[in-house]
Amino acid sequence: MLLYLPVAEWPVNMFVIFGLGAAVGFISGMFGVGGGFLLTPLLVFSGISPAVAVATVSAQVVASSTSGAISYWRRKAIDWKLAGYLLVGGMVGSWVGVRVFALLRTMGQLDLVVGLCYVVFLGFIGGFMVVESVGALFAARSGETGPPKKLREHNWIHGLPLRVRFPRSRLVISAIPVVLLGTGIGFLGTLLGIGGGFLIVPAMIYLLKVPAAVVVGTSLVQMVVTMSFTTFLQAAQNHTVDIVLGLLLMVGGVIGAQFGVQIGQRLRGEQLRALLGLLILSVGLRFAYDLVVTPMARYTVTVQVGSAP
Amino acid sequence: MTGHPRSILLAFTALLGLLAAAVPVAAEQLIAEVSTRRVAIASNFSGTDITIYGTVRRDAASVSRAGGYDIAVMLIGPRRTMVTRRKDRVLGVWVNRDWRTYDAPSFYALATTRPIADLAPEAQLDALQVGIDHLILPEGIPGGVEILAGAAEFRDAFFEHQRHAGLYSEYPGAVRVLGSELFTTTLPIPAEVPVGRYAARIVVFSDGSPVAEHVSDIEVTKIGFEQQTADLAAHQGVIYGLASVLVALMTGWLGGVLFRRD
Repeated sequence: MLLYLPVAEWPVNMFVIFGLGAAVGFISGMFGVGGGFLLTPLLVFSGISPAVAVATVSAQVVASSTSGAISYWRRKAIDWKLAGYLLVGGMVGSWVGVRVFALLRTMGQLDLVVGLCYVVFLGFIGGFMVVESVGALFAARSGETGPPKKLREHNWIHGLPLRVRFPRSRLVISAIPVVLLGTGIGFLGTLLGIGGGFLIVPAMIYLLKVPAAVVVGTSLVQMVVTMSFTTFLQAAQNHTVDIVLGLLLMVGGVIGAQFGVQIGQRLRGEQLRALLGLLILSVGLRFAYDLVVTPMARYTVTVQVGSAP
Repeated sequence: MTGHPRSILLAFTALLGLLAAAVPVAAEQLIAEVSTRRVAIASNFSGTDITIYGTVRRDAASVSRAGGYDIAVMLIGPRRTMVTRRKDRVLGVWVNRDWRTYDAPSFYALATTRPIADLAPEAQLDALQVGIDHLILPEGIPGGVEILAGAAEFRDAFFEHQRHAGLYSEYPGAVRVLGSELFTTTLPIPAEVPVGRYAARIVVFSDGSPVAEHVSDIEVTKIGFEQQTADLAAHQGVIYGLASVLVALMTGWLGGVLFRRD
């Protein structure tokens, strides 16, 4: 059934979009990620302009993170103070991101920068996850447990000034890296149309040494607030949020996630990380392929931003 | 025909005629109507057809046309500034480098009684902008200068893109002539078209010269929920933004409540 999207000005098959949302929701439920890194490229592939896709997925990320955040809230697995510091940075990053996004779009370099960022970040994170989890799988098979990880070991980050106490995480750490991390994720999330869960969770664990119990809940709170802010800015400044498209994706995503969670619970941590790593890596490689291989159409035509009444 | 000077003069007259609310340039009178003056885009919009019909009347004073009439019917969308970019390889990566902007119709469909080249001489078609290849594209180049005779490869690429996207199309032979003076044709409007004010433009040729012209306006507009949403998004960005965030938060919360697992 065809549905005409009011802001995207593009007809889409309702069931295809709903199915897309459900499929990505399934994956996000299975791996506990937002899935924006899959959804944005898939929408662009189905004909939605990148500007509308990126902005609308930020609304979808709000919806999918909200239910997760509430669930962690009930379990009291959120460090609110840490989330507060992160999202102050996140909002600054998002504000800058929306501006850079509009600028790149005018210059015609949005696709290139988004593509390069996907290659770099997804390639790096995906590759790292695959290597790490495959190593863990082999270690588990040969029965070795390896040396115990010293997770709480301090690094250079812990020597920075402006130290703040985060009682819930039993952490005393400089505010600088926390705010900077929030800023970076907010900026990238806005620019790439992703929540950034797969970036912020490892960063919080490995760089800030936040205990695993509060990492996911806290990052979800950061994502809900930062992405709400992003959605608002994209709608107010760039007029690119299509709420009809967003709603279809949200409903599909919420339903799909329920089934994903059930599958995810049957798999082991290393297996999940290996699969997710492969998925992230392949999306990154796909973008690399598009950048390097001679394009089918060397010429592209776009309506100049601001030309339409 | 006396050759170029006259046809250019005629073309100018035709253009002036077009500007001055389509006054017929010859003794022939063209009466035409479109099947709808307002195309409404609702949520189920999947494109539509516009039927254009009319008749060519000859008054007693005009000479009898041995060759009969040729008719070109155009559906022209609102003009937009469009950027055509070319990718070049930089350090192994394909990057948008050079670009041209065109002030061009966002939509152009043409139906004719005969192959377009047979309607009139090239210069005549250029002056009347009948045929995709005869559209005048004011070109902006990097640096902001506007020139008429632009880079052919960008121009060709632009047309190719618009054809491929279904936004520019030609249907030679699609105008049916019923009897000797009544004509009709149907032009498709695909779902992807931009909204705005369209023109249905009809040019009647005889012996390679335009003898009558007619323009009707067609409004392509979103209605109902589609229009309210688009209006809100375009003009009340703050309210629309807040509403979007609220919808997202509510959906997420509702999903969490409905599928509560803990």
